Amino acid sequence: MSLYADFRKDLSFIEKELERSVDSSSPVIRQASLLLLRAGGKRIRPIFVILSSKFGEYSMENVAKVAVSLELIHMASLVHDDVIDDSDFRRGFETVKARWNNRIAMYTGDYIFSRALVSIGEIEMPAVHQLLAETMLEICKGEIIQFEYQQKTDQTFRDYLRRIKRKTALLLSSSCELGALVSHASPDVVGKLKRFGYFAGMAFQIVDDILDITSTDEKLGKPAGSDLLNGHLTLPTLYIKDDPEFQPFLYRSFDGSLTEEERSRMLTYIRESGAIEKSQQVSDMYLRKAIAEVESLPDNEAKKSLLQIADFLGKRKF
Amino acid sequence: MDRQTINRYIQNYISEVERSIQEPILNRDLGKMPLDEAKAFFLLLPMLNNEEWTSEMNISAIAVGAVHAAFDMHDRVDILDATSKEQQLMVLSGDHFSGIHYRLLSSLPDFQLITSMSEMIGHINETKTNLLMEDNDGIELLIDSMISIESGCIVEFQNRYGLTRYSEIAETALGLIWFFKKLMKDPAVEQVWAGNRIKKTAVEDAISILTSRLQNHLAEAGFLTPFLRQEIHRFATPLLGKPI
Repeated sequence: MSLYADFRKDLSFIEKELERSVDSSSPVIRQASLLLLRAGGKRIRPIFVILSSKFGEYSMENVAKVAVSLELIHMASLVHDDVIDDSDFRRGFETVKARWNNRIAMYTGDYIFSRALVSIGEIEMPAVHQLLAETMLEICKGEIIQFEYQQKTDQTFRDYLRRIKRKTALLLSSSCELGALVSHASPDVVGKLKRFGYFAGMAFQIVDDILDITSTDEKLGKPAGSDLLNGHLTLPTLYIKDDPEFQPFLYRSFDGSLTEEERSRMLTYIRESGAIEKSQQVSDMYLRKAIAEVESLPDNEAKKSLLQIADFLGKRKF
Repeated sequence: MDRQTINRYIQNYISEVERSIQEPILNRDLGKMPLDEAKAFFLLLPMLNNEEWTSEMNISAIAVGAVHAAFDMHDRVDILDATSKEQQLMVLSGDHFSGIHYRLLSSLPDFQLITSMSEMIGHINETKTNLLMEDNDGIELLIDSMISIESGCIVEFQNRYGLTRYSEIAETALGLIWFFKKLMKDPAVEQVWAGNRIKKTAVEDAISILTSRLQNHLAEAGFLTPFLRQEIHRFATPLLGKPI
């Protein structure tokens, strides 16, 4: 991605560190972990760590430890999420639970999680560990709450925003905060980067939820509309959940009886309902807030990159 | 120290772990997490033997309990079908308990223990994976694997606080308990290792080897009170001599 050109060297170092971190003595775990790494992903968390660190005393060694840890925590959570969602494919690749079984997915996720703590364990800064521990617990709490909301239609916009905060925005916010903390940036800068990560994360997740409706099965690597099929109302569907013409689709998605042809009609219906545009406006609002935080930061190359990334997050099509 | 006092210490510890890991939705839907009394006993053994036990050690010990709870939860996830709500919550529950262990160690903060405990957790998951996926023909490898799974985190704790003289006893006894449970087809053990290829003769051999090893360790453990040595024997060999 040309967007990453300015820090390709740092990213490539982190990529190698990621591979080294999961070089397990168990052939199955090693294979599973490498498959996950090679399936790619946007590496948005490591990028946020790198860029935030550039507002203090940049040390590649410390940055890599934090970035590797955050990306591994994200990866571990995806492996376990695939067990919860009973997903056979992610980003077009077979999931660990599909290739081996649920238990191997549990152990692989737990192994990756342990390697994340080994990586960050070398950083002897209490605030770093306390922040990461709280973040992880909040993310997990978010998943438990998401479970409570599964297949529930009496949800509010606030419920949704709270959910995506925990699901995505918190880890991105913490990526920025941790990057700034390990480089000993000033408290004012740490706060701005933390808020940038939070607002960008909210926008990122809303766009993700939009793409689940507007993109194709092929590009998503899973069926479009998967959120609904898994019982999750997202921002676009919250706008039309009370629409009498949409409700039969909604209930059939939730009870698993939606046919392929109905799924296609449902996606068209949502796309044409105006819900996508309204959702995009909310995402844009968060992006504007993210950009405002970055604009108040000291001028440097990282600031330019953060602005470019914020712009990309709002417009991305994958 | 008498048996009642030991049990009280164990129950107090278990209550502390339960308080630390409790989460309202998980408690409501999954109920109380059963915590292993034998593991609690071997973790607390140095304290029961009047070793210095600081508040920091107590927090670390609770963190070890949270890790054990996380392991137990994830071991209960069905190999093939985890689509029920209960199973899905078990996944999240284990993750939550893992997070609690990290939060406790971060609160000290004990960077050394965060790293060494995480190394051990990784190793235990590798060992479990190998046991599930590969033939387990070599008896020594099987014994080492089960010892590592059952006692690895307790040994890490003991290493951290200079209590290594208790490690061989904890390793041997907890390994032995596992093989007894396996031999008796304990439902919890059977569920975790359903489909594994551990032979009954290997289990019997392991029990024989570990029983003899434990007797030797206890004979050499002059630092333990005679009563604690008896209690160790009681915890580790509850089924010895009973018809199978």
